[in-house]
Amino acid sequence: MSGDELTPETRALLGAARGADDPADGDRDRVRARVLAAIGAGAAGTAGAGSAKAAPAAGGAAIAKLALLLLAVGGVATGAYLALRGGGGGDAGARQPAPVIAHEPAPAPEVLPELPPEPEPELEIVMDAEPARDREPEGKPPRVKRPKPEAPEAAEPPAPSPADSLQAERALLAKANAALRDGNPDAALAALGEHQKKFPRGVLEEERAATTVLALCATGRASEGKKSRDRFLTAWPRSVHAARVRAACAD
Amino acid sequence: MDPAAPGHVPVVDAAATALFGPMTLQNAATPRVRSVAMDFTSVYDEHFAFVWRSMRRLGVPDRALDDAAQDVFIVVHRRLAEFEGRSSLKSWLFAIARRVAHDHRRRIGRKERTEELHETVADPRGVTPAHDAERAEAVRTLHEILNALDDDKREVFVLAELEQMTVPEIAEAIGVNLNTVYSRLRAARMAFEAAIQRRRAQQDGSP
Repeated sequence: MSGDELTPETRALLGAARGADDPADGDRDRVRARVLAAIGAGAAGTAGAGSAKAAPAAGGAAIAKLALLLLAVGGVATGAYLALRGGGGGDAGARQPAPVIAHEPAPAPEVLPELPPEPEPELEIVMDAEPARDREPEGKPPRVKRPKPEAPEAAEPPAPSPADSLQAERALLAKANAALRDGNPDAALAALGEHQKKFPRGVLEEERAATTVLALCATGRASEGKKSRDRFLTAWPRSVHAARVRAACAD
Repeated sequence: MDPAAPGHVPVVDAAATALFGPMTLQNAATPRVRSVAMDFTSVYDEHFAFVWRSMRRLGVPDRALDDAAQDVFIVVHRRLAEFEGRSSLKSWLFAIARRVAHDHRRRIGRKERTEELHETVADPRGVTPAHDAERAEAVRTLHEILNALDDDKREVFVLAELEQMTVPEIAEAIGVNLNTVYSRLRAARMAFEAAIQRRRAQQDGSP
């Protein structure tokens, strides 16, 4: 093997897998809405503070929530789009001379530096972003989260799962899988329920959801299984587990 | 912070200014590039799929794809007015995507993610439609092998073998010279082929 070319076997593999990473239409629309909301938030923050960099995070969050609220009532897509286009009404050729979000006209370096290990963002656009697992069904605007009165808006979200938490998550998933293999889907569901309780937003949430579908279908609770299956495929349409989940409770 | 966690803050690449400086050039852009570069909506529509695919192939987990793609296009929006077209738009976008992907990916370690693929979902019945199963297996194999490559090889392999980009385009996208791209591509192909052979040997040896 010289490295000058790939073998036919490898080319066949790449050919089979090539289109699988493409987004679905829902992915495109969902992210577009989020980007427009964030851009709108950034624009408002810039106008209010003179510098997005100087805008306090709490203020940015409030602005982002306002943007999401606008999005929820169907206004932000149009509003941000028009802002992008300079507010022109139907003049596709009219453009803003500069993006809506202000950026620092910092001098350009001569070379591309490596990303520092812990970059401090030059501009933070804070928005109440929905995690992937909470995605709304395709075509619907993002859900607006209401702030909890007991928690300050700028409060830090929970820290990511440390390694020991991940080990614990995997142990529970392994327990569920073993139960499934032993033909005991109820025990699998119990383990999955424990995972859900201990790690509602765990790193392995996607795998828990996939295994839950398999377990529900294995118990014969087809209706429940199909609902879980549909939720899974909506939340993780490109999951590597999608084919297995899709086949778990055949219609 | 977990990129999928509530309250995820899109980190608009701190190195964005440094990153995009060299691509903000004084020479005139071609009409094609200029017209695209001034229209964020067109860039989004035409290149979202490329950015999304690139994120997946660079190892961003599914759960973080929305956040990562959002971060990319926020940077694009900020910097688009400065893009004048000396590099191809695709190369420019990939340069953004690789930085964002790097940031997201390091939040979930490569090993952890690969182990998840192997261990966390059982297939007690093994019932899958043949076509879906074959394709799913191909995708799983591709991603597992990509995950095992180092970043330098991975990027070049993705752009050359999956995106069919030219070596000069790749060189622009990752900021290295042509010889380096050729060298990395050769090494990446060899590593990929070796991984395929190892997998085949494991399958042959299994009961």
